[in-house]
Amino acid sequence: MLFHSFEFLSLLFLTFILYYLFPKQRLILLAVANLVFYGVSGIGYLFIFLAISTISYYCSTLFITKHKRFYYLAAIIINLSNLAFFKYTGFILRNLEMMLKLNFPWQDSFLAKIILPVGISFYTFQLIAYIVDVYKEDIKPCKSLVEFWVFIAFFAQLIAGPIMRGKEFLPQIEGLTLITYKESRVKSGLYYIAMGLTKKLVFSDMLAPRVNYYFSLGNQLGTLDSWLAAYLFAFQIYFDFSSYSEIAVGIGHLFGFELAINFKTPYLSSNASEFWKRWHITLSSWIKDYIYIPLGGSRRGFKLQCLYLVAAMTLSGLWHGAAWGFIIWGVYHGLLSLSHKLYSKWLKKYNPSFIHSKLYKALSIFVFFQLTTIGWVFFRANSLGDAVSMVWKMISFTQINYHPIYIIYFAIVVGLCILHLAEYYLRKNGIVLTGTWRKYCPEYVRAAAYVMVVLILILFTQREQSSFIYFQF
Amino acid sequence: MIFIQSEASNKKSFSSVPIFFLIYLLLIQFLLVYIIPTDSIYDYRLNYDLVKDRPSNIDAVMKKIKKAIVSEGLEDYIVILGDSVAYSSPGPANTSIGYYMNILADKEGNRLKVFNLSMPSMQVGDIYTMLLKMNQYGISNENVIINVLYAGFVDRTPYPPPVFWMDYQLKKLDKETYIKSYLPHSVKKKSKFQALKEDVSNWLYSNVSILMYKDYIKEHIKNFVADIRRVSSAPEVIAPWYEKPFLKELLAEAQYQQGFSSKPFNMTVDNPQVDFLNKIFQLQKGKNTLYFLAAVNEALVEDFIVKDKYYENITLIDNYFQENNQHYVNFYNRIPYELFSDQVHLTSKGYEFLANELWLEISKWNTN
Repeated sequence: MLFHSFEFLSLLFLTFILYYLFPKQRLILLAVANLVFYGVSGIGYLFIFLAISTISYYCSTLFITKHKRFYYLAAIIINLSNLAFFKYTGFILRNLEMMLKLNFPWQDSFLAKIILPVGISFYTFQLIAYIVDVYKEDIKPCKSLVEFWVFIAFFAQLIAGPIMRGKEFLPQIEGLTLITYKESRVKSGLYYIAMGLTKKLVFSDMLAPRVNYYFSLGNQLGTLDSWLAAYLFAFQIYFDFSSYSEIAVGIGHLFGFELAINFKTPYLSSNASEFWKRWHITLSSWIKDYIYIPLGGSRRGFKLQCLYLVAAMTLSGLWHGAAWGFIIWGVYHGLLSLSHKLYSKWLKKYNPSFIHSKLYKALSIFVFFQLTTIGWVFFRANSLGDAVSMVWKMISFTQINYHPIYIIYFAIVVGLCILHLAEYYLRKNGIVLTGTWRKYCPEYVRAAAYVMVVLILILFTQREQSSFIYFQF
Repeated sequence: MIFIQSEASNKKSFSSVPIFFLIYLLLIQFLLVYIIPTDSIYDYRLNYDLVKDRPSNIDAVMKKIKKAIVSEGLEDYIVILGDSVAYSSPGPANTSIGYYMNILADKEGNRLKVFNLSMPSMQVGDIYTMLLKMNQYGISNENVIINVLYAGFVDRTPYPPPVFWMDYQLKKLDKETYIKSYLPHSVKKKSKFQALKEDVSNWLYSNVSILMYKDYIKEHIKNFVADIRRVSSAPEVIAPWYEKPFLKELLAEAQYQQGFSSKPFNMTVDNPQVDFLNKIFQLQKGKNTLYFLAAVNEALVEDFIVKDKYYENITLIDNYFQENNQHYVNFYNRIPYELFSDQVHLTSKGYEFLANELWLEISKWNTN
């Protein structure tokens, strides 16, 4: 169910009204809304999700017994197996065939027809985080299965995050009946939703056809085209993914919930470490807390720390999808993180004065944005061959077929960068700007501005609803 | 009275933002029709691409035509209804029969205006629905030209359905006919939820101005940007059929063959074409209505028709209109073959010729 679909808007409207009309029934209401929301994508997948959730819940309630470790491992293995079966079976079999030069008779079997259940990667990670947290006694287990279901399947963030943690979200669900209607909260919810819809409908959907066109040409692209394709995709995926997260946060606000912010203008990062604190924040903190630190983190020496870092980022790439492009993208980001670690070590040793200048910071942001953009080619290209060809042309500048039209195209990219800066400024000065807006702007002008936003959203809505990129993960 | 809690002062204060917001929305609702230029919505004929993709876009056209009728104080005007022949495919709007007929009217100093509401693939049920829609918008059906095709009388399998574009509009305007005549031939079977969703969406697009004009505004902006960028397409030249060697091969395909079927026509009400035409006769009783049977380019299709039986069917159509005392013209063998651009459509000169012929026919009417 897409956020900008008739089905979803009906479900949201109905749930919102009933939520404030019947505060004592909120838990049941949200549980049913979650069932309807996920059930629309397929009853079979809903049953799988329900089964996995129920097993995880009951296992976590048994962590107080003496077989604690058994139930813990069982819950983790079941969750990972579910994810591996649906997401990686085809990929593993295909690669085994290639490596062993064999032909497994699986192409006609049901294995070849497996469709990835929507949101499986997100709910698996949220379930695992819950299981680990309860096992480590960082949080108490849920009091009821219904409460657990609302926590794990809240329809605003179920399909593409943010990946919520028990300690952040469970107390909010436990206090569900105490939430009162606050106009300021609803307003801020509508602000996030409007911002998310603008990013999706105005920017992401407008960039999508151009990006698809360029990447469909793959290895035929020259240097400038490859850069252009990569830049446009960098912004398309940012607008697309951050829009989903922002709408999720906005919907959370409508129901009185505080969901985690997933994006903080990531292309203004000056290094890999900063990037992952600004891009898909809930995934990177998950990777850090449940993979990188348990592996050893920085506790076992610098060399192992570097190894763990690359391994964790590779897993992050694999989480995105069962394809070598995603894995390479993960490794690439692992290597960027590693390089930054080494570079930081070197800087610490010599502490040159130029690193404190604004120019250095700006230069770092510029350079790192180019590096991030190169990485996106592996993520988006239709094949590994296309990705290698594009990246080679991007870095070697071997096929520059200049035409004056590129000035306009690259001006659009510069415009998108300026827009990113504007978003940063808005976020940083949000409270002051809101105050100024309300204080100095007459109400009839504010109303006109809100009407303009509505009109723009209506005008930009495409006839065919486009899905969110991250739904495929 | 709406109060919001100011975050800074924590004082309750009156906010008129929602009231202004509603006022602006209402202004847009009522004034948008006056703001959007007429030629963005209707330019001698409707915009096929926009109506094809969203049939509810026809409402914007109807509203705009009604506005033109009122503002110009038109008393006599003619509406053309029909399929791609009346629409004048494949040429541009300024080579369509509506355009040529308006020029003829101007030349004769006639205040008569011609509105072309035809659309490619429009079936007889769509024409019937359009007449109901004209009534809904207060557009007179006093003078109407309707185009029919031989293929319209051929058995439907069930494709094409007798109501191709306007099923939602028919459902709203004449539910009984919709259930009786449309549903049995319906190609798409919809679930109740899907039907509800479509109903809500269609209602919104037919009644909320910003949605009604949304596609036209986008089109206007697109054309405006193209003008700024000086991107202009060269005027289309519609080549005659004999310059298109691929046409014979194309016509050999089953989907085209069906339209030339020589199987004897069922001229009873069991044939939806006849059933809907009978309804149209009832609606148009006492009005000026010209029906014309579009010709087929026999020089191109002769290999695909069994001539005797084909002409027997045409005689059945002729007889049917005569028996019902309708003003009817059969254009078979009246249009020179060199004026065809394919098997049924015409070149620019062909449409000019057709417009002249139609003009002569309607000169018998008591219009100014």
